[in-house]
Amino acid sequence: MSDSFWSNIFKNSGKGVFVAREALKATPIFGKLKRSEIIAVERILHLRQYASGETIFSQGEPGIGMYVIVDGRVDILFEGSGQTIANLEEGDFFGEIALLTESPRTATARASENSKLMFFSQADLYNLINIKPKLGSVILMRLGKIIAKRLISSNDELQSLRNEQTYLKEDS
Amino acid sequence: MHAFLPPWIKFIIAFILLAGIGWFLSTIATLVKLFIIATLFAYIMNPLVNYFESKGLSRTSSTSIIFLGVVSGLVLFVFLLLPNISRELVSIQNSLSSGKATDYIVMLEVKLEQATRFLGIKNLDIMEKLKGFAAVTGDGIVGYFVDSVSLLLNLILIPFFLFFLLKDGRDFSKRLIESFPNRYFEFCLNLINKMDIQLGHYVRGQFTESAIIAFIAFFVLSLLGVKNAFVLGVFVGVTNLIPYLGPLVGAIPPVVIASLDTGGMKAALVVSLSLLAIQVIDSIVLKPLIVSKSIDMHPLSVLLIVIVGGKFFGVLGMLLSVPIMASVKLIMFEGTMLWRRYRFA
Repeated sequence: MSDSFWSNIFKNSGKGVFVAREALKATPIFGKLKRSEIIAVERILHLRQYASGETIFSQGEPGIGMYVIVDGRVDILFEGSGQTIANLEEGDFFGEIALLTESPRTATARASENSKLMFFSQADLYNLINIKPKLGSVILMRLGKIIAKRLISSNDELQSLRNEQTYLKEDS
Repeated sequence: MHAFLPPWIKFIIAFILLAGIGWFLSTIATLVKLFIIATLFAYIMNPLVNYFESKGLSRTSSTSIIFLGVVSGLVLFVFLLLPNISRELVSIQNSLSSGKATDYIVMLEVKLEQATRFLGIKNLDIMEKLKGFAAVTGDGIVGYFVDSVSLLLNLILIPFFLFFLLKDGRDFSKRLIESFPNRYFEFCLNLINKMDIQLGHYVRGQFTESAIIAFIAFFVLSLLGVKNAFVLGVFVGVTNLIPYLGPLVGAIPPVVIASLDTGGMKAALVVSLSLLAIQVIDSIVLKPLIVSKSIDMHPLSVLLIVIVGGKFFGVLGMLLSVPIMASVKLIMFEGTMLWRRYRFA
């Protein structure tokens, strides 16, 4: 396991910052923002480094923010079954629900290779809304759109499962 | 490497580290004090800097504007008000050091002893106690603010710390958080955010409350025709920062001066009742509106903490003991709760 304490203190931020900005631009939340806005966002985010196999957060823990993958890959899995529900890579993000509400994590996130992630907390979002209200509103709107899309998709899935259940009942 | 060390070695290392940090902090106690004062000022001024930043200015420009504003205000204050204030201070000092004050306090002591005889109270010795209190408090305040070396150090270092705390405070906090191991990163960030919010509310609430109390006291004392109402009002406001004991200490100079000027108990009673009314307004209106819930501590705990803070660290200890204990309490209670929720144990 890497010693994240020392690696975070002595990290070389020059190239890392550039890669981080590119990764932020690739996300639907921060994409298409102006360069100055991306820099403002990047200034408040926390860059973290994880070794392959290291747990980022565990299912059931309180969540206070979301992660953006700058470099590397992350598996999202259910604790009980151990089933992997998603393999995420550079530019992907996860844990975004915790940006709006401090709720328990619904799954475990684990780095499947050495990874660099950026963490955006609820407090950072409030801070951004406070000091850069326009940018904060844009991010909040985009977050709302993503969650709305997921809700629509979940509703569709639920509807199709209900239809399937009705069909199975009628069939039997 | 640490993962392979036995727990008792880890404990010894942690103990040595903590002792080292304690020793280091005690050797640079003055700097720590100044840093804490600058941090409190930073909490008060931060919303103003954020406001200018939200209007599109950079953090550096926003901080510089606020700083220039405060410095200009202080310069104006020194040139316009200081001569009057020093006159008022000299007048207060003359009133208090005159024989009239001693006579008045002796008379008060006799009346108090007569009134409380049924409780078996005698030999109150108020004069000696006041002298002792004045020596301790006065030495604390005067020794701290008037000593030329510390004054120079304060004048240079507090604004220096304050400027960089306002400008780069977020970056300092970010760097500190980034140094935590991944396993405890979210836990520490969560705890620091909660502590920051609570401390910010407490400090800004206390500042606003004291400023309002100072203004009301100045207004009321002026209406009652008490001399040197401005300095006395400010004194009432500043002492109001110390929970429970502060208002009592703050009431002594206006009451004594009012009675010395008029030579009777009636003026003292009117001023006492007015200050009591201000305290009632403070407790019923201001505290619930401004300070409430910023600190969830039992009144008895607050009183004990203030006394202990004053005993060990003087006036500064009385002022800082409550926010420091509130932070310690938050770390202990919220920390334990979060620790369980994060399932570290």
